[in-house]
Amino acid sequence: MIDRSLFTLPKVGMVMGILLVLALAEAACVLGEAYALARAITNLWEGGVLADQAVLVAVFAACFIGKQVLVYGRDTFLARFSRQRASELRDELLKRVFSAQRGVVAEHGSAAVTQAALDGIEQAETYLGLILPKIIGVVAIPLPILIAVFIYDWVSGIILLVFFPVIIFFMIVLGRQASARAAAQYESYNALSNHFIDTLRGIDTLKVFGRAKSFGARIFQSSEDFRYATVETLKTATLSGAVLDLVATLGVAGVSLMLGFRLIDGIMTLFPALATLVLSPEYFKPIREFAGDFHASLDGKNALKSITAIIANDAKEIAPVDVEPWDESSKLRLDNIAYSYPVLESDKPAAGEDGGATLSRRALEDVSFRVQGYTKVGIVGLSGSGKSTLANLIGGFARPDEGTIGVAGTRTASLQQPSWQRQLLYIPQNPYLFHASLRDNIRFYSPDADDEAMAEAISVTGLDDLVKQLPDGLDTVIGEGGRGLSGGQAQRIALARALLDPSRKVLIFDEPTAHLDIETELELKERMLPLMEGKLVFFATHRLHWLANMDYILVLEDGRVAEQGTLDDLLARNGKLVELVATMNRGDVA
Amino acid sequence: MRNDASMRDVATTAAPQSGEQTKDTWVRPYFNRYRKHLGQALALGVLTFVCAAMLMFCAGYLISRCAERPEGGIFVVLVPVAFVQIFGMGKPIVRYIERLVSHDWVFRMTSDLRLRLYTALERSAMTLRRSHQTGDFLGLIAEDIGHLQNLYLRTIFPTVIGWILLALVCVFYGVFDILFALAMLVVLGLVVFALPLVSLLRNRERIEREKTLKNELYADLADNVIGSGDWVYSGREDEYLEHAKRADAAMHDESSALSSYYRANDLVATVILGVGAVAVFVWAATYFGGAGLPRADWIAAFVLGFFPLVEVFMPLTAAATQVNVYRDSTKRLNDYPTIDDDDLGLDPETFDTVSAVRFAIDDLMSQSDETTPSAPTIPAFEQRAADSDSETPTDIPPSAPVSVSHVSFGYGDGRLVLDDVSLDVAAGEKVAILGRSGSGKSTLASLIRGDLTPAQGDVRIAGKDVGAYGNGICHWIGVVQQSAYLFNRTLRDNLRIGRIDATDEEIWTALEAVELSDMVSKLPKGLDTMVDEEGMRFSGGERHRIALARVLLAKVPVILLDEPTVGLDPITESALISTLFSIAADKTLLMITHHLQDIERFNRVVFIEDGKVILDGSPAYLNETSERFRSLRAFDLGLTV
Repeated sequence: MIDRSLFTLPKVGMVMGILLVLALAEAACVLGEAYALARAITNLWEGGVLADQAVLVAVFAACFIGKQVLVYGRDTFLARFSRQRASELRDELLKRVFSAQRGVVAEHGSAAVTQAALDGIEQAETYLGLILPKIIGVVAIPLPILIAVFIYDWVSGIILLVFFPVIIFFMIVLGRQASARAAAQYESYNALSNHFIDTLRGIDTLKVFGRAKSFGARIFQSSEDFRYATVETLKTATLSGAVLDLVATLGVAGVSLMLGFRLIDGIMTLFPALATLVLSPEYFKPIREFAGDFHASLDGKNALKSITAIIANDAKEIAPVDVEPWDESSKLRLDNIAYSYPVLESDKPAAGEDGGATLSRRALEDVSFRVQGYTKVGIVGLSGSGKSTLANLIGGFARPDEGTIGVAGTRTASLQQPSWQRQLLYIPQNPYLFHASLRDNIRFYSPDADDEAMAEAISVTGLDDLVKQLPDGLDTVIGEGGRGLSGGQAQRIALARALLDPSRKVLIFDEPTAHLDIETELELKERMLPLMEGKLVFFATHRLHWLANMDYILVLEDGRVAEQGTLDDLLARNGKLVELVATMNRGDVA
Repeated sequence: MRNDASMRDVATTAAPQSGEQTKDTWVRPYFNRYRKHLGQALALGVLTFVCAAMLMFCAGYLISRCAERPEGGIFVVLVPVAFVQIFGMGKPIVRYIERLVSHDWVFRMTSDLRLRLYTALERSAMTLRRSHQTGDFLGLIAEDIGHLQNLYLRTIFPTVIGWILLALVCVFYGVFDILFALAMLVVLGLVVFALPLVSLLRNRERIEREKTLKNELYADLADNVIGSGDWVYSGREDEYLEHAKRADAAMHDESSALSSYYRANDLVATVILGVGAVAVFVWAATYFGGAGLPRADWIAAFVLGFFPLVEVFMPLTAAATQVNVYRDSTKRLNDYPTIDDDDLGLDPETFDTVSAVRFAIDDLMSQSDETTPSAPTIPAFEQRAADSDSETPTDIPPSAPVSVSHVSFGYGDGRLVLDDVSLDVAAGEKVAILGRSGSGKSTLASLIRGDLTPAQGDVRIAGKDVGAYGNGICHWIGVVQQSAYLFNRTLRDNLRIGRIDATDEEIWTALEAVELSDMVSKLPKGLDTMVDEEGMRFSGGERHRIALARVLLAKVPVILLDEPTVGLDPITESALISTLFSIAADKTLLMITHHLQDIERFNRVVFIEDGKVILDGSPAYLNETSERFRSLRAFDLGLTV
C-alpha cells in the first residue's frame, strides 16, 4: 500500500523528520482547538458569560488558523523538495536520452520518452508532494489524539482504537480489490477513448467506403455500452472509499452515542464528552485523506516507477575507446557480428525495412568484412535481409550481440563510441528536420558555418529553388508544425549538412532515395555522387542503379553476407547478386 | 498518441476561426439535456454534506442534552439518537450513490458529445487530412471530451453543490435569526464566491502562460527527442540539455507561482472560516446562552455542525480556477459546427429509458460483491446493410470508363495545381500516372473521386458527373491510399469496411485473391486477430494487400491507387502489382506511382508535370517515341544481367 521506493530518495529521511515535527505540531493544534472549544461550550452550557470565554475563543481561533499555517509551511517546504527531486530525475533522464549510448529512444520510443520527461516528471512531483505528508499524517496524528481521548474518556478511546485496525483492514482488503477494478476500468475507458480516436483517424477510409455516416450510431452505441460497463465497475471500485467513510462516520456516531448514554447515567461530564466528540472526526481524518489520495496518486507512483526504470535500464556501458580520425589508410573490420532486435511493444519503424514479423528474429548473423580508406560500400538485399540493421550497427546506433570490431587501429565490441560518431554522418530515408529555421537545420552539424559556405552547400544540393520559394527564405521555420517539405527536399538538407562539415569522413546512407519519385531520385543521385568522393561510404539500398557507383558490395540475405566483392567480381561470379538482380528485374517472387 | 502537445498549437490555429464569441454548444446545453439526472446528482451531492453537518449538529445536541441527565433517561433523547444514526449511515451511502449517478450523467453526456463531434468531423472528413496534416489533431479533439468530463466532475459539480449548500445553511440560520444569516452569507460568501472568482480571474493569464510554455516545451522536447541522434552525433547534446533545463525552469516558475497562490488562498480562506466559526460560537452563545437549560444545549449543536462545512467550501477556489485550464477544450469544441439533434439520427427517448433507478440501493447491495463486470468489448461492425450511407445500386457494371475533360483546379492561392487536364480512360483500362511530388497527381485523384470539385471542366464516371453521385460514389470507385489505414479492430472488421454484409466465405475468397489466405489461416485467431495486437503486426506489403481485399469486397468498377508501393522493395512491390492486376482484370485501374517498376503491364502511362499532362501513351509507344521515358526506364532498372 505504501510505496517503498519513496524511502530510497535522497534526503528523504530529513524531509520525513521535518514532516513528522510539523504533523505533531498539527496534532497539538487539533488538541488545543478541541480543548478550547469544548471548554468554552461547557462553560456557556453551565451558565457562564460569553465575555469570560474570550481567551478560550482566542486559543481556538489560533489553533484553527495555526493548523493551516503549518499546512502552508509544510506544502511550501515540500514543493521545493519535490521540485528538486523531480528536476534531478528529469536531468538524469534527459542525459540518458541524449547520450552516445543511444539505446533509450530506440528502446522506449520517442513518444514514451517525451511523455516521461514532461507529464511523467510532473506527476511524480505531484505525487511526492502529496503522498509524503499523507503517510506521515497517518503515522503521527491519530496517536496523540487517541492518547488525549483516553485521558478524556477511556471508553471512547477503546472504541476509536478498535475502529482503527478495522479501517486499515478494509482499506487493505478493499483497496487491493478496488485498485484492480479501478485499473480495469481505467483500461476499458482508455480502450473506448482509443477506439474513438482510432475511428476519427480512419474517418476518411470509412468515408471512401461509404460507411462514415452510419458509423456515428455505432460510436454512440459503443459509448453507451461502455457507460453501463464503467458504472458497473465503479460500483465496486468506489466501494472501498464508501466503506471507509462508513466506518469512520459510524465511529463518530458510536462515540457520541456511548458518550450520551454515560452522560445520562452521570458517569461523565460534558467537557470531556464534547472534547472527545470534537476529536473523533479528526482522528479518522488522516486515514481518510490517505485513502482518498491513494487513487489520485496512482498515476504519479506509476510515473515515478517507469522513469526510474528508464534511467536504471541503461545498465551495461561499453568502455569508450578513442577512434582515430578516419583517413585514406584507416581500416575497419567487422568479425562475426550478430544482432537481434529486442522484442518490444511499440514504436519501431512499422513499415519498411525491419518492421513486420521479423522483429524478434535474429537480424544479423556472422557478418564479417573489412574495408580500408575511402571506399564506397554498397549494401544490397531485400526487405528484412538486414541492410538497415547493419547500417545502424556501423553508425553506432545499436550494439552487436556478438562479434568484434576493429576500427582505425582500436578494437571494441560496439561502435557506440562518441569518437566514432563525431566522424560520421548518417542519412536515413527520412532525415529528421527540426522545428527550426531552414538555416539552423542545414547547419545543424556545423553551427558556425558562414554564409559563404552555406550558399555553396545550398547551390550544390539544389536547395536554391526551395529557398526562393519559402516566404522568409532561409529563416522560414520548417519541420513539425512548420512548413512541410517533400522527401526530396529533406534529403537535400541532409546532403547540405554533410557538405558543410567536410571533417566527417564517414557517410552512412540508409535507402535515401527509394521513396522518391524517379526523376527526383535521378537528380539527387547526380548531386550525391560527388559528395561521396574522399569518404568512407556505406550505402544500404535495394535500388540497383547505385551499385555501379560502389567500390565494394555486400549482398545480404536473411541476415548473413551471402556474397561480397566488387561489382565486376560479383557479376562475373554469377552468384547471389546476379540472382537478385534477375529476380528484381523480372519482377516475380520466384 | 505521438506528440499531443506539439499539436495543441496546430489545433488552436487550425480549428475553424469563427469569431471571438462562439455560442457555447458543448457545455451549457448539457445542463438541460438529461436534466433529471443532473438534478439527482446535485441533490445527492448536497445531501452528502447535509448529512455530514447534521451528524455533528445532532451529536452536539445529543451529548449536551444527555449531560442534563433528563428525567426520562434515554427515552428523552431517542430522536437525536436516531438522527445521529441516520446521518452517520446516510453520509457515506449517499456519497457513494452520488458518485455513481454523477459519473453516469457525465458518461451519458460523453456518449452524446462523441456522436456530435463525430458527426461534425464526418462532414469534412476528406478535406480534414489536408487542412490538419495529421491525425494527431483528431486525437487532440477527442481528448477534449475527456477534459469536459473533468470540467463537470471536478469543477461544475463541486461548485454548484457549494452554492446550494451555502443557500441551505443561510436559510437554516435565517429561521432563527435573519441578521445572523445575512452576516454569515457575507462571511461564507467570501469563501464561496469572492475567493474563487478572484482566483479565476487573477490566474487566468498565469495559467495561459503556463500552458503556452508547457506546449512549447512539449513540442520542443518531442521534436528534439526524435532528433536526439542528430544532437548526439553532432556533439551538441549539452547545448540542448542546457536549453531544456532553462525552458523547464521557466515553465515551473509559473506553475509554482500558482501553487503558492493556492496555499496563500487556503490560508486566507481558513482565516475567514475561522472568523465564521467564532461568529457561530458568539451568536449561539448570545442566542441560546444565559437562558439556562435546556436552551443552552443548542450551542454545541450549532458550533459543531459548522465544521463539516469547511471541507465543502475550501476546495472551491481551486475548482473554479481550473476553468481556465479547460477553456481551450471548450473553445475548440465550440468552434466546431453545431449539429442539430435531428442530424444525429437519434431518438432521444430511447436513451433516456435507462434511469438512475438502476442505482437503487438494493440493487447496489445485491451486486456489491463478486460480480465481475463483463469486460467491455469494442462492438463489432454489425452486419447491417443499412449501415451503408446509401443504397447499393443493383446495376453497377464490372468496369466503367473515367473521363476527365479540360479540368483546372487550384487551392485558392492563385496557382493552378491542374491546368486544363484531359484524360479519357476506357472501361477496363489500366493506367499508371506518374509525376514529381507537387505535380498535381494526388489532386487529380481527389477530383476523380469527387472529394474536390474542379474549377473548370468536368470529371465523369460511366458518363455521369462524379459530383452527382454524392455518397453513392463509393459504389463506383474504390481507393487504396498510400498508407492504408487499418483500424485497431479485428481483421474481419477491417475487411468488412469494404462491404458490411460480407460473409466469411466472401472474405476468405477476397483474401485468397490478394494472396493473404495462407498467412491469415496460420494466425491462431484467424479473422479474429486484432490488427495491431501486441507482437502481431502486418508488414507494409501485407497492409496494402488488406486494403486491396477491402476494395475487392466492395465490388467497385473503378479502382484508384495512390502510390501504394512506396517503401516496398522491388520484389514485394512487383508481387503486389501482380495481385492487383489479377484481381482487377475486368476493372478500370488508375494507379499513381512514383517509379517505373512493372510499367510494361499497364495499358497506358501518363506523366503529369506542373499540372499538365506531358506524356500519354502505351509503354511500348513511349519507349519508342520518348527519350525521357527510355532513360528513366533504364535508370529504374539499374542493372541488367
